[in-house]
Amino acid sequence: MNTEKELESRGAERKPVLEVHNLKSYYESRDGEVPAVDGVDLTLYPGEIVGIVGESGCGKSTVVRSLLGLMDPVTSRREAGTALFEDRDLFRLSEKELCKVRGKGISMIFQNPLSALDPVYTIGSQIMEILKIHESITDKEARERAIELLHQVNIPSPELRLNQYPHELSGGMQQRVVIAIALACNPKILIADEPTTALDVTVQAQILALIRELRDRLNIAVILITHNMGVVAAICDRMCVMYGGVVVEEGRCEEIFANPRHPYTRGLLAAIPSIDEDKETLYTIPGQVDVLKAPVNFCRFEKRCSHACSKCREEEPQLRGESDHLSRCWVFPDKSSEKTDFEQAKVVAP
Amino acid sequence: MEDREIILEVKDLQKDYPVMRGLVFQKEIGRVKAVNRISFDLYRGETLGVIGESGCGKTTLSRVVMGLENATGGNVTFMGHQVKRGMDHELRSHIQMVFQDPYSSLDPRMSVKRILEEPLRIHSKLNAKEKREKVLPLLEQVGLPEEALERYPHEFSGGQRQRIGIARALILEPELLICDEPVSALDVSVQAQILNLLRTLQKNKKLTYLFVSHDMSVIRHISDRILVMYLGQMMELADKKTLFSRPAHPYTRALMEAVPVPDPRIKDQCKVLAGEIPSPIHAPAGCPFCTRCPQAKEICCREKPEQKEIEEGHFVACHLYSREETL
Repeated sequence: MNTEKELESRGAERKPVLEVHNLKSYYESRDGEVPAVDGVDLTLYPGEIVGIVGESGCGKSTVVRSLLGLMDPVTSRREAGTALFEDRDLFRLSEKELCKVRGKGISMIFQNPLSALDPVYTIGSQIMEILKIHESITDKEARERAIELLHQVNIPSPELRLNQYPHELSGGMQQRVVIAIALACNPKILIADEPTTALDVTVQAQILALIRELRDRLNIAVILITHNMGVVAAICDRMCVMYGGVVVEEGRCEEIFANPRHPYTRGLLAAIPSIDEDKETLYTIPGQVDVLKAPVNFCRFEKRCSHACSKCREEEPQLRGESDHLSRCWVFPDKSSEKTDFEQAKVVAP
Repeated sequence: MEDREIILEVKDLQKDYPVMRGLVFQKEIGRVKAVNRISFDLYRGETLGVIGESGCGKTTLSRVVMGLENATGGNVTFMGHQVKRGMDHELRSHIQMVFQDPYSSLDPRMSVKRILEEPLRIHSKLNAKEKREKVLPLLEQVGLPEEALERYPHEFSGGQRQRIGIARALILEPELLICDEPVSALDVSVQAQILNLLRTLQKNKKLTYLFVSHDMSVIRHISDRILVMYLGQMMELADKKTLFSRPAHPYTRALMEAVPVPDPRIKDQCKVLAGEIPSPIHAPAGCPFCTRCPQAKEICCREKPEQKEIEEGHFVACHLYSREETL
């Protein structure tokens, strides 16, 4: 395992803030268990923005929800995995200990800011609430800190905003408030689950710029979940492409966008209508997402892949490649396969 | 364009909604101009894309053009007839609509067969066999198997549901199809399938589309001409090539720059436009964009800019292009 060693040596230079290993999270369903997340590894370094991309149902939200113990224990189950954060395994913490991590060590912002905020409390009291929970702080200090936080997320006249209710703010302002709450206790990691999907493009650009600015200033590590390839390209350093509960391609953004290897990533990129050129027809990925059953012992993308060979049906590929670019594919595993033309590299199926 | 037959004419269209206050004794305290004096022509066989951010009136526009709501002022004329609520059944069957959310726009208690046959039941006197003969080929054209007929909407994925929605809109063989954000609820790969389908159908059936979306890249892909809206008003109208090579209005430019491009090599993407869309209740007196416009002058806050044709077929409503100043 050459790549693992490389990763380790890289880790020695910089200590990762979060190390998730072999995370498996299964849902109960009437027809058995659905492997929503089936063996995901994720390493996060300080000051880095990592994007998790994929279409609905690929398990991207489940990864981060499992991390923070936000899954419904009745319908879902964490099958395996470790998550090292500050030398502790998040999955072994009791609920009480986990409460201390949520909001303080790792905090999260959600897709819809209006449903993340409580409509009957003022902005100020919602920011001060989290400060009072996690820190011994007086009301006056909390208020000052709240003003400072609102200032930090570029909300004009924060003193006035403190006494306003969420519905009095626009969508973009609400999302800024949510970010302010997430940053209140100086977390090490910020998880953003589709933070701009509910917003307009011009406002989306503002929020993305804000996240990048905060990363630069606070050296915070960010996990950004999105289905929008453009958003990833705009602000992420590294990215993971997920499909069917596993990471199918992982690496530096420049590298993946320039030389995508996995047929799914290639298809996804080709399916986006371009803003600066005209295409007659868009590339489409044939078929649709399958509902899988555990255990899976074939390539999850095999049914929709135009390059699938018999090996893809018999054995699930592992992530392979160089440390800054891994791919989970039998046909396009590493650098040598990059230059192979996508259309011509068809491996003849028996 | 060879044949420029006008199929739909929208003239000075205005749609206001009252703003009420009070629980029991409601009093009107103002009016929101959701669509404010918009005019355009739609030619047969083309796709007019309407783009704008939330609250810009693009959905209201499509609802008025569809005849689901009456206009407050101005006219919508479809092939010589006025479009309004309760219009002639015959006329209604020529304008159909595909909705944004494929989950809420299909009745969960109706089988696909009933969903697709319902328009026929209302608009024609076909018997069961004739109806089936109409439904089957259409089902194939939108890429659904025959077995789908007996199934219910919840058994389908989002993309397949949108195909059902499209089939329902096409069953009466309309001339004009209004697509209100038909792909924004779908994943990228499914979105590509639906966009391709809409294109093929347009070619085969000579359809005219009014395509509403907030996604610049989708609009660029599907449209022949593009109408940019902001706070109920038209900012710019031009054919696709002109608009993308020479965007004239500062808002159009800002909108294009704000779209994150899937290419990490382009650093410093997403040029940030300051501020947010003002509430339409308190729309600025002059140009609606004057509060955020980087090039705003004193006149912009005072006077509404007139629509001006700066080159053939390229309309802009901006003071930068009024009178002596041109491109």
